[in-house]
Amino acid sequence: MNIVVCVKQVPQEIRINKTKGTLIRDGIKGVINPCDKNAIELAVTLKEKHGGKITLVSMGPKDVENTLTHGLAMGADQAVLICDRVCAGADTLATAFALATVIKKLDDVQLVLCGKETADSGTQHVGPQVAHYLGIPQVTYVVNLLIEGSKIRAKRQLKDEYETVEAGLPALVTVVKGINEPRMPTYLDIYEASKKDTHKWCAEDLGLKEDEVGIQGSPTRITKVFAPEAKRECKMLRGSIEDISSSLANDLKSKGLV
Amino acid sequence: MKEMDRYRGVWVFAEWKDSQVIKGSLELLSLGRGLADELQVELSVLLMGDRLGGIPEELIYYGADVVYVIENPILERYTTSPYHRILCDLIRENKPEIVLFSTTHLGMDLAPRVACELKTGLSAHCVDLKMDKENRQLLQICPYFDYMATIVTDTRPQMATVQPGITSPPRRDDSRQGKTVRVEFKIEPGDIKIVEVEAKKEEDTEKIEEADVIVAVGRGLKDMRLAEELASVLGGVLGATQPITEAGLLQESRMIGQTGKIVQPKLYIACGISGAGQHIVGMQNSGTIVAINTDEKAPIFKVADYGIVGDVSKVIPALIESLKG
Ligand SMILES: Cc1cc2nc3c(=O)[nH]c(=O)nc-3n(C[C@H](O)[C@H](O)[C@H](O)COP(=O)(O)OP(=O)(O)OC[C@H]3O[C@@H](n4cnc5c(N)ncnc54)[C@H](O)[C@@H]3O)c2cc1C
Repeated sequence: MNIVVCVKQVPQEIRINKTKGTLIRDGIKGVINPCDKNAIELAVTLKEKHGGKITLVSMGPKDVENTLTHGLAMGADQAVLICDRVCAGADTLATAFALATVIKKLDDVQLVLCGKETADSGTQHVGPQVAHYLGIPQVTYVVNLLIEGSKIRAKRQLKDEYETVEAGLPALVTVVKGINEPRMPTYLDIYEASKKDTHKWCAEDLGLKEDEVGIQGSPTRITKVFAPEAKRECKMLRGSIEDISSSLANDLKSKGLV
Repeated sequence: MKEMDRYRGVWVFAEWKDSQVIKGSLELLSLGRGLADELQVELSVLLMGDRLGGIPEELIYYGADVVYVIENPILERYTTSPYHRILCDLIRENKPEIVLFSTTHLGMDLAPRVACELKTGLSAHCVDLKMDKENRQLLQICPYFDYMATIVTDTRPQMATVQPGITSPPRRDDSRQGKTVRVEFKIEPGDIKIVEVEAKKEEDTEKIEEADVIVAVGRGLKDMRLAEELASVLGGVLGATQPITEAGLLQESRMIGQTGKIVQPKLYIACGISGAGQHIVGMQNSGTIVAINTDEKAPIFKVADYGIVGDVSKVIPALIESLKG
């Protein structure tokens, strides 16, 4: 049973360019999106039990290759990186299309795992959209997953309840952080990982047309990034700490809040 | 006529629980009503489920012009594929220009898959919706770290998931008239079978959603005991930002914001919190908001009534003194 894990590289630290309002990626280390690590951990434990091969699939610039090594060191067998300028600026739909195109090319994929959301944009869209492109069921927000023959049994973590569902394989599952504790690879694991393959594919290798990927393949656009407007008139309290706190305490008392 | 101009009308996908429309869906009716009036089109609501009783009428009382009702035992509890199928078919047939969902587990499971089949854009966690009337383009405003981003969609329908708690439900008016359209579908059970549902046991006995006073802790506060003491003097409870709960300093049930809870206490004291959009959506409707932060440019001050620029580890002890005195 072969498993694919969709992985995104996110900046280790979120910093914003204060004039442009864009995310700073330069000079900040890229790491595997936190809940994608949980997805990799799940894949590795399933492999230990059921066998098969684990492929990491990602899209991004060349340096994502280094980040993927961490996932290979955790126990994945190989990685595929979609790496092409024309893919840049993709929204979730164009990203999902590219990821699904790769997955379709891999042999006998029975299970696709994704993290619930990414730490940098957090839309939660990509999992269900990849599932749709693959024409397979999706099971989201999973905290526990068992494979029983040709079926999965998954426990979903919802707002006030847990829902356990069964679905036939192949299927796509998105996992929440609580599902497991991702292992820390040892130096030896990392050394071994450097011998594993990361295939870099460009859009042409995948038969992706320019208007299907990147900005052109993305129906949504960000038109403006702006600082939020002041919603309230903020009374700035100034003076010594004692003066500030006694005047605040008095105001709160007179409003009946204390 | 351009293909885009064939799309008219605003749709809201309504969710219900225990025979009642959920609050997040009622809030969508507020937003949807406003958009429909601006565009001079109808506001339609999509309602799926089983034994829906008086819910369609309720939706009309809350502002719907048309309620599409699909009732079937298979739809009693949500599973992706039947809901997805029906929604895609109805959208293709009726061509609404806008379709809104609430950011719930159901909405976030369903909307992306529908957008994918329709090859249209979807934005997530919107905190405001505005209209570019001339182009009939929906301006979808989402938190973007310390900033806000406006997202638009060049295809139709324009789909968005909206954060609960960003507006109030509309006034209920039981004299309002509207149309209920019952749609028959041949419905297949789909590829997912629900085998068990169990209620979550809350380990945390204090419910921050119900508290009158919240002392909220951010990364700027190093000593949790100070916050505890302030909360106890005020008879309040502790809340937190995501980095605090992720570091395990407080339980996840205390997280406030987009991923966490939406709270509306009478008094909210933000201690060392920067005020990221994802946090603000969870607390901006609180009664009185006090913010303590060393950085006078921190965005939290934009939603606060009282601002104190200072070191929270010094301000809290002084405030405790003044409150006791
Ligand atoms: C998809 C997604 C979902 C998210 N969901 C949530 C959510 O639900 N809830 C949430 O809270 N966050 C959420 N976040 C994270 C959010 O973007 C911010 O990172 C987070 O809210 C910041 O927390 P903070 O204010 O505690 O920390 P920081 O942003 O690090 O702010 C710390 C603040 O403390 C101030 N400070 C430092 N020292 C002192 C001192 N001695 N005295 C006073 N002030 C001091 C600093 O000036 C700074 O403003 C989400 C992010 C993403 C991408």
